[in-house]
Amino acid sequence: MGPDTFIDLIGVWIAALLTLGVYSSLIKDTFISKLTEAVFVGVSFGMSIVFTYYNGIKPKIEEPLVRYYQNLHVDYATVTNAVTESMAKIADAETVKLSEGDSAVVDNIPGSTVFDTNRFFAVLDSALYKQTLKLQSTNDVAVSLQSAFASSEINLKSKDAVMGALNEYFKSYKTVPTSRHFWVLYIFISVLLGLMFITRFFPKHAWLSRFPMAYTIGIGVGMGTPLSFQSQIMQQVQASFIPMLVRNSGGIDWLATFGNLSLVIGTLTVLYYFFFSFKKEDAASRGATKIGIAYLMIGFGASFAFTIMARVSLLIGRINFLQDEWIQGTYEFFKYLK
Amino acid sequence: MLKFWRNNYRVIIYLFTFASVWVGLVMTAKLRINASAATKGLYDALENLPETHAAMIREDEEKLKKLLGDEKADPKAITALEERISRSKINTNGVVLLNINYNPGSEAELTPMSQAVCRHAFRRGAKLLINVGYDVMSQPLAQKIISDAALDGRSVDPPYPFRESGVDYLFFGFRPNAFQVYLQMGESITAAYETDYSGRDTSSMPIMRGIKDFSDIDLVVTVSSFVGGPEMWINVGKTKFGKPVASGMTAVSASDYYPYLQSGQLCGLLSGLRGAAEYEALVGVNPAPATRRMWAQLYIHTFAILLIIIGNIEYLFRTKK
Repeated sequence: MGPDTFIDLIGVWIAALLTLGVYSSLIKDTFISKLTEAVFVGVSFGMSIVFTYYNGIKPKIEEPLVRYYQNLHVDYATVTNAVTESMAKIADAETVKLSEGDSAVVDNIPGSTVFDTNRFFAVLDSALYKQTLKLQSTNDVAVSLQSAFASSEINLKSKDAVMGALNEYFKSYKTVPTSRHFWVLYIFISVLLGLMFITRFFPKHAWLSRFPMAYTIGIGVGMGTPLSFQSQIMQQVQASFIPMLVRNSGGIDWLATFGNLSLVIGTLTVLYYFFFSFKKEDAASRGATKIGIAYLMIGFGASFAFTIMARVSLLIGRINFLQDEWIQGTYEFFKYLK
Repeated sequence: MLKFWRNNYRVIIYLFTFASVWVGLVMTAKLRINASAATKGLYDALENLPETHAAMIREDEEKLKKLLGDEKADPKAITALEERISRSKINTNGVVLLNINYNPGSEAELTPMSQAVCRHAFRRGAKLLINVGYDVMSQPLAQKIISDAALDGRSVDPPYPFRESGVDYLFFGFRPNAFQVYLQMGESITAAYETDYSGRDTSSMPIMRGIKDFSDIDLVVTVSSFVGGPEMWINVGKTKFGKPVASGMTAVSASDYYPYLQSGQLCGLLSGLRGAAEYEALVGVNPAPATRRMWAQLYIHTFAILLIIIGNIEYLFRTKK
């Protein structure tokens, strides 16, 4: 687990010193502890920006827009030639040799299904209209077609049928479909909405940021509410409708019965405790409230115990790192260097 | 004595805490760990994945038979079901989606359980898809976990051979707006993740031949340190797409999720380091980082209990005076 290279060793030492820097705040706040905090926040934020660019902006906006522009200016004949060539190769690999006089009707071939032109067109669409596909590259077109047809179950055993269908497809084929132009418009509107957030830095125009905010919240609520209602309310309520007396083959399952009873009593009394619409002065109300409090205390106790366990786990993780990777790792690195 | 304690109790507690952890970490004796029902739930779900997958194919075939016998059936639905069955027959050992959603702050608790789950899935021959939740910092952690598990198959008994990226597993990496991405996976996984973490086109990868959308996933495991992370997968994975969901989480938030286990919305739950150690014991991981740390947990908890007792006695003495 220790460092393998000198660069790794430097990394381990930096991590170890930063760990000790953070722990130095146990004694008192020092320059070192403040520095480590600042380094942590700075590095996290810097990494977030870089990762968001490379995993979000680049593949979802930058690259598709560049491809769109390139595909808009690609030579149509070059693309159709590349597609024809690739499809011929794919069909050649699957073609069944037909004896002379046999028609090229695919459904005559044992074990095959009828050539489905619509499905064939759909697979071609999925292969040729991918946002990331570079149509200028013959190789990229070939790879895209191969992978699309490999994962489809389309019968390509007759080359004549395939090439015939391909010619039919080319009659309405465009290198950039109309829907892609609308997609570009949608991207521009999205980017514009995103940029509107930045107007918060300019008090005079800050009101513009309310539009993307409203859009984001609206989308989140619209998509999340029905699912949350179903899984966090309906299904949880449904799960609390349980039998008060559990029977098994040997009679009454006392443990399960106690568990179910406890769950129902706990649910009702805790709900009752948080019911503030009227005064709870009679003995029954006060009793139910006390039981509710007891359940809450047990719940908080369990949460608190879990919290200690979690914090201790983090400490163990750090001390484990200091012991294994820093002290032992450094010792072994220099031992093997000799 | 009491005066010395009152003046220096913080330093004494820190030193004893450090000593308890350190002594626990150098202990080499084997600790017996019994797995809880919550941990066994996930283990069983992964262990029985090939059988569950075969049952799903049989169920789909029954549905197809009925549709073919029905003259009014939608031809599109028949085609979709036929395609799904043929896809399902490619990955006979099942497909697991592992969602890693934590930052380095929770690494000590959650990395051992993520590694154990990866190793278990690889040993069972399941195809593994890995994505990242809301925190971009999860990406480098997930990348290391998956590459370590793929390279080192000897750390479980019986061992498994080297697993190849794009063939046996696929790491998608981070995407902003996780919830929308998860929902988009219901339509097309390759549309939600056009490229993997290293920028390679996902649709041309061999692993994706048998995987199109969420219906091709057999089990979702989310390892999360964020409140709301598992709920999102319960909403999407279980409620929307009807797939079994299991969760691994930090001990801090574990107690919030037991109701989901009781309601059957989660099929398994790994809580903190203890859950990770239980899972390692079930899978037979060796060396087992979480199990090794359990000695330290034992000593430090004993020390914490002693402190509570001492604190109470001291309080009693003080109030009596």
